[in-house]
Amino acid sequence: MAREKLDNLQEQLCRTVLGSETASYELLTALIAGGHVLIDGPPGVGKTSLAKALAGAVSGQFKRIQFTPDLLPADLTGYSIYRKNKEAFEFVEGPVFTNLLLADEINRTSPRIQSALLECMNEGQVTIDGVSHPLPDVFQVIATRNNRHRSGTFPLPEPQLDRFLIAIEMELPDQAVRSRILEHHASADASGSAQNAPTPIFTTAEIRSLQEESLALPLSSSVARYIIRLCDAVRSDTELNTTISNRGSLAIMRMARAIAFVEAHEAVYPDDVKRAFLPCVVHRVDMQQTDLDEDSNSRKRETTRLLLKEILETTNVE
Amino acid sequence: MDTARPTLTHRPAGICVVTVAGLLILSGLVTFSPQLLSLGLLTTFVWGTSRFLAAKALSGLVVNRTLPRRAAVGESFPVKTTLSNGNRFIAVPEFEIRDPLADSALEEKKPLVPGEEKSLTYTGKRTRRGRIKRQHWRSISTWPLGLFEAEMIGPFIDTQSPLVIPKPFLPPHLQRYIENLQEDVAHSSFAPPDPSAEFKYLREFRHGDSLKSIHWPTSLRTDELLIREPEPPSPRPRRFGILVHSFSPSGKIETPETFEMILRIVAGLLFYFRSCEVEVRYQVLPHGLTLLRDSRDFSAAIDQLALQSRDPLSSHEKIIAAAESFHDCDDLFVVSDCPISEWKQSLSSARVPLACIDSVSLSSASRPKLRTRKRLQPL
Repeated sequence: MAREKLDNLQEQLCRTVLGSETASYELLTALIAGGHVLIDGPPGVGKTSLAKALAGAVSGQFKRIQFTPDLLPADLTGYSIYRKNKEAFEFVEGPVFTNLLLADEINRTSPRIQSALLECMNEGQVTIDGVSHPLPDVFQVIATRNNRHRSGTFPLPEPQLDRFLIAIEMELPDQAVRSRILEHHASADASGSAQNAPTPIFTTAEIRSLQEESLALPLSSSVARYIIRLCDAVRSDTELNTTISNRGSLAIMRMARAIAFVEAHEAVYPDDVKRAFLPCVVHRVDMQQTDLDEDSNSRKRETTRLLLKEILETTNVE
Repeated sequence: MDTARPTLTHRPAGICVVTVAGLLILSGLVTFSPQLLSLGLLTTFVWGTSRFLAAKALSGLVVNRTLPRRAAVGESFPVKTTLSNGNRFIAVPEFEIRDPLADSALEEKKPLVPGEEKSLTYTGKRTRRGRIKRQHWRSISTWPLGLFEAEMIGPFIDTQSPLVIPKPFLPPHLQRYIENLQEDVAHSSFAPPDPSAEFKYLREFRHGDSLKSIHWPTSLRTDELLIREPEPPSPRPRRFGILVHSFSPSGKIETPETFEMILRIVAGLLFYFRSCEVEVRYQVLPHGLTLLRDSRDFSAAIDQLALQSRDPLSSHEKIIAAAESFHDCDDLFVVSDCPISEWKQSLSSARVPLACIDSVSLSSASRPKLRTRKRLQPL
């Protein structure tokens, strides 16, 4: 039953954003792994639509924050206000107190505000005036980032990036998919029908139970050693600058477990680790490349992905 | 080497088959046994067919390569290779292809049917500067029965010929020195105030103000004397110069490594000034002086570094004359692959403050190491 629902969810996501098969799969898997997701891509490829589609498919609370340069930490986490009639301070919850938080254009706000999310994302709680307020059991941040246009943006600091379980890179789809998108919208415009609101497929309780089931999947010591070898290979690569923390290794393990669960495997296989490796690592590493021309950024991103793929191909499973 | 030519070599299995065929035919002839003879001929037929197919197998392979316009020495860049089968009838079987830019051989396990195209994406790297000249791929196949190893060498059809520039290197102490110079600009060399310049704001008249600076139209409207406060004089941007030379005093031979290191430092300076959007007067002896104004000029100068050959001077005169032509600069960086002690003294009469740089005076800690990759087998 749960497996059918998972298939339905992926289908619904793919239907909402045409050509997003890989992104939908990774987003769904990250939900099962209980991790936060960073969606990277140029404007207009369906980053926000995909995140909203996932929110619509889970019948929990969904909140969206448009990150702007004038945002304050209290706008995210909440604040304490003095109530004269009660003669006491009362905590007013911010938008982070939700099940699914869409942080749109996260790099449009200053690092100070980005850092306000650190505690929420890592520990599932918010501490204000020395009092910790727990966040809901199912809490996922889906952040979108425009990685093409840098003007007016602030780069995400490494500790913040490390809090994201995976990064999904969305690109402009191929020509066939692009024409399907146009046809789809043209027919919707002609019939005058607005896009149907997505129907909730999962409750938060069901998501929680799926997360627990995926965590129960066995992981052999040889697979764990394989993850360690992959991370060591990234660390020893002279061209990749940022090292992967233990949190990064744990992220690969969690994601591999979720993939194994979605694929209905009895245990975590090396192939699951291979599928989890790239989305879990790509945002955690950086390359110091010479800024040769205007294409430098996209070339750097492509080279990073290729180097990681080469590491994956050259690291032995056992 | 422009046309692909397959070469066939026997593999151990092929040698066994041809030996067995020969022995069978010989035994058939000696013993007048038609069975042995026909078996021998059949084995020879299999061997011959295998050889024919092996020779044809890779003949339709066409390899196109997409490379970036520029790359830096020692830095990976993406390479996209498209394999296509130009043969009309025979599929290109499983094969292995080697690209001199790549670290390892690329394997293609699925056969390429006639007219099919397949793309492989991987990283390439160069450890030498200059333009990447026409390169050749090498593919190896043991199809169809593993009796022969067919090797084919053919030219890559590249979309463009990339330029590999020296990897920029700016020693930290040199960068600090330039930053300090740029900070000093605020305290020196102010342009004289321009009386006709736009005024910034109006203020009340104070005792001692010149009557000429009263703004009469506003003063009459407001019934109080208002003074034009002119735009404060903006500091004149500091003018930097870079003079690059190779100097070979008689009896001394500089190694190519020192010249390469100097090119890296010059590239580091050019990248730095380009990012700061600072104009630079630039000269590489024996060529003429140029003014680098915008990023296009800087890019052209950096590209030129990729192709720069060492043109050593044998006397000081040209260096002294070149330094004189930088007289309107506030600071001049003189960069050479020859130790400073050999030429610095001759520039003592220069009218410009000098910063002399050579590769020898770099400490071992600040001397960067180029990362190299495992070499491929030579083609």
